[in-house]
Amino acid sequence: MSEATASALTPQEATKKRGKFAAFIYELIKNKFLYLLALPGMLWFFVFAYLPMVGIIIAFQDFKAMKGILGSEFVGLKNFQFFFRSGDWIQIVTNTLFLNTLFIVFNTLAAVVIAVMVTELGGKWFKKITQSVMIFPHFLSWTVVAMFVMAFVATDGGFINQFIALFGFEPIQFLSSPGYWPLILVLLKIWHGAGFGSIVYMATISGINPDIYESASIDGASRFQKIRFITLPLLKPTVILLTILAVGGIFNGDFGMIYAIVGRNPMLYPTTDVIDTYLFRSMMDLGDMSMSAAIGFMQSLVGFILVLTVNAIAKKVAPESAIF
Amino acid sequence: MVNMKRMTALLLSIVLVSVLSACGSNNNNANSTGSTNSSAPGSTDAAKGAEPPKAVTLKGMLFGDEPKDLDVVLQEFENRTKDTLNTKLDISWNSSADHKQKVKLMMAAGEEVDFVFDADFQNLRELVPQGAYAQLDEYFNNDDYPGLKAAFSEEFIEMNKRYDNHLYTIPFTQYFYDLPVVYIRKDLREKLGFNEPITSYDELQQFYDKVLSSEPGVTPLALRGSSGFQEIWAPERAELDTVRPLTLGGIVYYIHLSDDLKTVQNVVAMGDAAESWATLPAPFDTMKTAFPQYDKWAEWSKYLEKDILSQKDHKSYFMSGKAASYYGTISSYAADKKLLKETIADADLEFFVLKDRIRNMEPKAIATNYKANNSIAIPASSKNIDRTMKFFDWLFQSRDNHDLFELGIEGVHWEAVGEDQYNLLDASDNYMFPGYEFTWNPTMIRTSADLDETAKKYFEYSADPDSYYAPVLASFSFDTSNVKGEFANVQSKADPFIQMLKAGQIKDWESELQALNKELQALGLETIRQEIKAQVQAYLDAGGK
Repeated sequence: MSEATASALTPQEATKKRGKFAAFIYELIKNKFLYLLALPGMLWFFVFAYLPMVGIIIAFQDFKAMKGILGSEFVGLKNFQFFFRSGDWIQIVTNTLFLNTLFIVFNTLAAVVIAVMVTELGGKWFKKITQSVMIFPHFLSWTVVAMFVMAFVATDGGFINQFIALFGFEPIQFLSSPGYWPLILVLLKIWHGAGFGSIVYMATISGINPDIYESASIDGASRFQKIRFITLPLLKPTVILLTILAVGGIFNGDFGMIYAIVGRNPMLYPTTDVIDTYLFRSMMDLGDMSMSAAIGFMQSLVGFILVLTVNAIAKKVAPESAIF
Repeated sequence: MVNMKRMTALLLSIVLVSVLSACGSNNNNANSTGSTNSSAPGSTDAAKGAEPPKAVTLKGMLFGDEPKDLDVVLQEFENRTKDTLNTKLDISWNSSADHKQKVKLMMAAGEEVDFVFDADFQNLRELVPQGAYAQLDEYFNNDDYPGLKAAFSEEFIEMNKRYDNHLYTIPFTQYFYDLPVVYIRKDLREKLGFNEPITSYDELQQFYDKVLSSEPGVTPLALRGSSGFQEIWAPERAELDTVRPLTLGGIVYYIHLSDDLKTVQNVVAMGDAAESWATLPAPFDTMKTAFPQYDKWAEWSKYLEKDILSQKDHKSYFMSGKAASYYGTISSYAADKKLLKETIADADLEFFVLKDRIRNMEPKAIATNYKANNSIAIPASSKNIDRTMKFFDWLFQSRDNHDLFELGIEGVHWEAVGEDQYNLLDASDNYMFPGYEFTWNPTMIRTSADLDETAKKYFEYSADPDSYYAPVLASFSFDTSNVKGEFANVQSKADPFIQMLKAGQIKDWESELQALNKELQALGLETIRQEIKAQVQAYLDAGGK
């Protein structure tokens, strides 16, 4: 016991005397086995996440495969020019941000609602089945979903238009009316991902101490009051955390979804063309790695800045839920 | 057992020797090609004598699905050639989406591979100037390689040479042009009272009108949204040597040459002002007459489905019975006919050849640059260039050798009918080899025996060298590397418009093109125009035609 106290005192003194570096070394030696445990993971990150970052250099080069990363000519910011020279970039960035914001907001809302509703459900079997049914769409590839969507929205013989026709209305040409598509995409995104996204929230809810609910019941709280004043406030940190993480990717359009569903239908570009689909189309013939890398780098950079911003906001509003 | 040991020892020593010798010659690329050349006749001598050459395994990369029975075919190949080639093939199959990037990365990493599929639509334009691939000129028209000499004519080789007038590929093609057609439901045509096959656009239009009026729910013409009408209504007119079209990123440029075809006068692009067009000789002097098909496309859009721009698979749409005809090329005739008959009972397929002169099978009716769309390239870093070329020489030495790879084992996967036809047998499903990546050659075509007479005639016609001619500037190809940024900008701006135009969705295309052209000016259309001018002039100055 006395030894432990003695060693606990030493680092504090050491910090004052010999500076932080020595304290760091001391910390390493003291917990060497713990750090050894963490080493493989750190190495993994270094080799597979940090070393490859050197490759970002090709975003500033006229990269030629045979000359390699070191031999290619350095061209500065030229690769970024192409994206910003066309006036289209404003619209494309707006679309990307708009769609992703809608996705994040509505997916989070839907996931929380699903999580609360499912936990309030009685009946073990019914609950399990409901949960499975809602998670299932997540495992369908967007390519498959795209075929369902076509069957729904087709002008000749689509389900929706057949239904509308029953009431004697004119068919809606969804595939040439860009206005409908943010709505359609958001609905699809909710259907596809909200069930799966609710798992985390359900786990959080099941981690809430049941004593709180019990004492609330004793005080005469109704079911809605319990949700409003216990469940939701306790879900808040998780919601903020997941939102911060999602915001990191807000500059990355959901290529898999949008390209599978909208494909190359130019009529729908005004509302559905996002950075990733635009880039794919413009680079398809050219296949230029440098220009693609430049846009990818820009997306990551903006994403990183946004994560920092949202985190800073979270820190002010709800300090306990910020990541760092 | 002892044999096995000996074989292994032999193999190891061969590997060692080849590695050492390669190390020695790696210092100088030019030297290494030189030395391998001098050894080439030696290896032929060995092949003729009793001693087989050293065993070698050639590594290759193709794309697509590996045929199930490839092992069986390779085994048969090894059995046949143990004493002559003594070569094994080790082919890896990339998914078609990854092939392009994988080849690029392999070349960058200098990984060892002896042959890869590459083509203009893959990395060829980029990797050849960068020195990734070996020059193959000397293997063709060379008596040491009789198979290659016989199968690849001098003109064919000449036209497939690259910018520096050297050959870097083994070009594969069967026909120099896959005839564009509209496939028609024969049973539907007869049902609607058209007793004779359709032979003109007028008849086709009457047929479509009849479909619209008496077959509700059936779309007259199915097209893919991103490709649109393509060759339908392509103008029938005499070619002008002085005005040559060049399509870049969807935009059509006309290159106006002087009468002696030695200098570029100017380059006129879609949507340029009327004064620019007026400098061209008729019928190119106005956009209306230069692109007469665009009006027809807008008019014919009533024969398409309403959601045409979202149509990704028009063939399936047709096969499900929802359309009366669809756009295709003649090479898929036999397969499509089979598919249709399997899907819809009593249905039958026939085709209407789109261009008048081709439909009438006139000689010199098809413009071509004799360039093969598909080819194999051999990395300059390969240590087995001679042996790889020996393999391809063997492949083209006889129909037997060639058909083994293209169609599989005779009697198992297919059976020969006469000299140049075949019937597929039941096991053929296990050996669907992508011939265009490895074996196609104009001199070794076999057509399906169950084709009807008309189709056979068109196949013969497109195999006949006399059907083709090379127009002026045929083998010019534009190099985008100097104007990459402008090209990407112009293309992504123009692409949506061009797509709608091709699908017949734009009525007033003339003024809309002019508006688009103004936007493209701001994105670098002028820079591209000057680059085209410079490159074509350089091409002409270097003696190109």
